[in-house]
Amino acid sequence: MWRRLVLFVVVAVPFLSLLGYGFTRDAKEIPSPLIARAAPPFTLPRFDDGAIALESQRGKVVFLNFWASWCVPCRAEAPALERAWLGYRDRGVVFVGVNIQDKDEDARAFLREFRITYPNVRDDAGKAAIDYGVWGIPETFIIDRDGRITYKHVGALGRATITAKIEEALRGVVSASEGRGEYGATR
Amino acid sequence: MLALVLVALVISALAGSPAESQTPLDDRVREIAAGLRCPVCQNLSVADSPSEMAQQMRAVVRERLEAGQSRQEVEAYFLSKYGDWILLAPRRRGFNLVLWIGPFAGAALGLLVAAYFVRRWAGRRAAVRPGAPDPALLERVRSEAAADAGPVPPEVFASLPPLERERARLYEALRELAFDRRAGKLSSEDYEAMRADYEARAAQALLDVEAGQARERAGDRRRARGEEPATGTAPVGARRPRPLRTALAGGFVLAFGVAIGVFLTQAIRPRASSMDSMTGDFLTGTGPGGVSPTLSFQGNALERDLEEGRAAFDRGDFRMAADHFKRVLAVEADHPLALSSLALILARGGHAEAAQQAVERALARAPDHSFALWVNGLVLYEARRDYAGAIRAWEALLEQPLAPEDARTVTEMLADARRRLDSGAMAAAPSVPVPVRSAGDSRRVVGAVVLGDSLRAAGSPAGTLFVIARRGGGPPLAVKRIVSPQFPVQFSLGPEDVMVQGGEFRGEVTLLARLKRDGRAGPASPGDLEGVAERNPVPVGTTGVRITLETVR
Repeated sequence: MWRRLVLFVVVAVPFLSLLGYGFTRDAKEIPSPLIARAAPPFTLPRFDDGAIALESQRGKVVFLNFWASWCVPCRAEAPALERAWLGYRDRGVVFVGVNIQDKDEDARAFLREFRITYPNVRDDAGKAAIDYGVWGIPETFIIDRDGRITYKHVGALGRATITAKIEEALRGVVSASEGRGEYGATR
Repeated sequence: MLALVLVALVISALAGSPAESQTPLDDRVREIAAGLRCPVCQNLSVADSPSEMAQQMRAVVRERLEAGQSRQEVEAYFLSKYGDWILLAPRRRGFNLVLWIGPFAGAALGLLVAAYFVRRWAGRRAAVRPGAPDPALLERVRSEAAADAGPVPPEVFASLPPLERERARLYEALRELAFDRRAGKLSSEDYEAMRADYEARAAQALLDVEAGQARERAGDRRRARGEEPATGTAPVGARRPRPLRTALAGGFVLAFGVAIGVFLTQAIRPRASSMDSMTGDFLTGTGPGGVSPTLSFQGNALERDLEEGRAAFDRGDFRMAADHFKRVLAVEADHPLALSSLALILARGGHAEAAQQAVERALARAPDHSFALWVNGLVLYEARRDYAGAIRAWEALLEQPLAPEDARTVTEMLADARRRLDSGAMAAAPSVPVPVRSAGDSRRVVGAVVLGDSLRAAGSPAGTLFVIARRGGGPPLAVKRIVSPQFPVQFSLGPEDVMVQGGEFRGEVTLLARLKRDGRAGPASPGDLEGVAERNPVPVGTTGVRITLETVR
C-alpha cells in the first residue's frame, strides 16, 4: 500500500507540476531581451525632409513608436500619442514614430488624418524594426537620457501609461517587464 | 575573331558567376532562416513565410553572411533581439532540456511499466500451474477420465460452471489423445508429453473445482449464519456477474454518446467571419459573435457583411461595424450604403473630413440614395457645421419617396438647420446627435441641456457633459458624452448610447445631465453642474426634453 502511494507520488507530482507550470504561463508572451539594454542606434529618413539619428537625441528621453497605417490599434492610440507629445515636447522628451511595412501615401494620409506633429521616419527595409525585436505593432520603446531602453509596450497605449512610463524614464527608472495593450495587430 | 571569343568568354563568365557564387549563399540563408521563427506568423519559419517581415529578416541574414558572419553569429544577433523564442528548435540547455529529454524519458518509462505488467501477468499464469502434481491426484484423473462415459452433450456442457467445464474439456482431450495414439497418429514420445501436460492441467482443474465447492459450502454456512461473504474470497475464474454495475456503465456510455452527438452538433458551426466564434455565444457567453442565426452561411457574403455591420452599429460596436463595412467596400469599392454607414462612424469618431469624402463617394455613385443624402446632411450639419450644405442635402432627400415619419424627422432637422443658418455663425454649436438608421425615431429621446439663470451670465463652463438615462434607480442605461459643450446643448439619446449589454432603449427613462469639470465619468463632486429633466420619467420617443443645470455643492 505504502509502496504504491510513494510510487504514485514520485510519478504524478513532477508530471502534474510540469503541467501546472505550463498552464500558468502565457504561451503568446515573448519577453524582450532588450529592456535595460542600450537602444540599438539607427538613422532613418523623415517623411518631411532630413533624417533622424537616434544618437543625436542622447540627453533626451526618446519615445519610440513603431506603427503602420493599416494597424487598427495604431489608429486607436494615435490621438493619445499626439496629445502626450504636445505635453512633453518642452520637457526634454522627443517622440519619434517609425513607420514600418507600409505604403508611403498611406502613411502620409495617416499622419495628416491624426494631425501628427512629432517627427516620423520610414523604415522601409525593416532593419530598425528587427533591431528592436518588433513582432507586432504598435510597439513602443521608451529610451532614457543615457540611451538605455527603460520600457517596452506591445499594443495600443493610453494616456495614463504614457505619462507614467515617460516620468519613470525621466527619472531613469527601468521597468521590470514589458507592458501589453488591450490588443495588438500582426500581419 | 579573338575579340569575339573574349567577349563571349566574358559574357559567359558574367552570366555564370552570380549563379555560381550565389547558390551556396542562398542555401546558407535558407538554412539559417529555416531555423528562425517568423515573428508575425503562426508556426512558420522565416524561410517559409511570405510575409514582409520574413523577407526583411532574410535580407538581414544575407547581409550578415555577406559581411562574413558565421551561422552562430547571425543566430546570436536574432537571439539578442527576440530572445530564445526566435529559434524554432529550443536550445539544449536549462529548462529546455525537459523538451528534449522528456519524450524519450516518457517512452522509456512507458516501456518499463509495460514490461513490468507483462511480467506480472505472465508470473500469475505460471503460478497457477504447479510443477509436479500429486501422483494420487493424477491417478484419480486417469480413472475419472476413463470412467466418463464419453463426450458430454452440448446442452449439459453449457450448463456446467466454468471450472467444471474446463475439467470436462480436459478429460475429453485425454480420451481423444488415447484414441489418436491407438490409431497410430501420434508417436509414443509425443503422446507421453501431451498426456502428462493434459493430466497436470486436469489435476489442477480438479483441485480448483473442489476448492470452489469448498468455498461455496463455506459461503452457504456463512450466509446461513447471516454473515456477508468477505470480499476477495470469490472463487477464482468464477467472477460473479454484476448486473447493476454493467447496466450503469452501459447507461453512462449511451448517455455520453448521445450528449456528444446532440450537444456538439448544435453547439458548433462554421465560423461566419474572423470575429465569430466557432461555438457562437452558446458556450463562450461572449454575446452575439457578429452573426445573426437567421443568416445562412451560403448567403451572399456582401449582404451578410452589410447586415452584420448594421447589427454591430445598432449595438454600438463601431469597430466591428467599420470592419464589416470595409469588407463590403473591398468587394465593391463604392457601395453607397456601406460608404455612408462608414461615413457615419467616421463622423462619430471626429474624422469629419474622411466622413465627408466617404459620403461624397457614395453620392457620386448614387446621387439619389436616401441614406447617403441623410448622412451627407448629418455630416455637414454636425461635424462641419455647414448648414447651407446640410439644407441642400436634406432638401434633395425630401424629393425622394420617404416613409411619413422619416419625412417628418428630415423636415424637423431641416427647420433646425435653417434656424441655425439664420442665426448666423454665432449660433451655438450643435451636439452630436447621430440617429442610427434613417430617421423616424420612436427609439430616441431628443432635447436640450441649458444653464440655470445664475450660471448663464458666466458663459459656457468648461468640462465634459454627460447625459445619463436610467431605468428606475438602476445603473445608467444609456449615456451620451459631449466634450467641451457649448450651451444650450442639443442631445439625442438612442440605442447606440446604451451601455448595458443587451439593454434595450425603450419604455420610460429618468434623465439626468452632469457637467464634470475633470471630464471623468462618475458621481458629481462639488463644483460640477447637474440637472434633471423637467418631467421625469420621460418615455422614449419624446422630443423637446429640457434639462437645466445648476451648481452642485
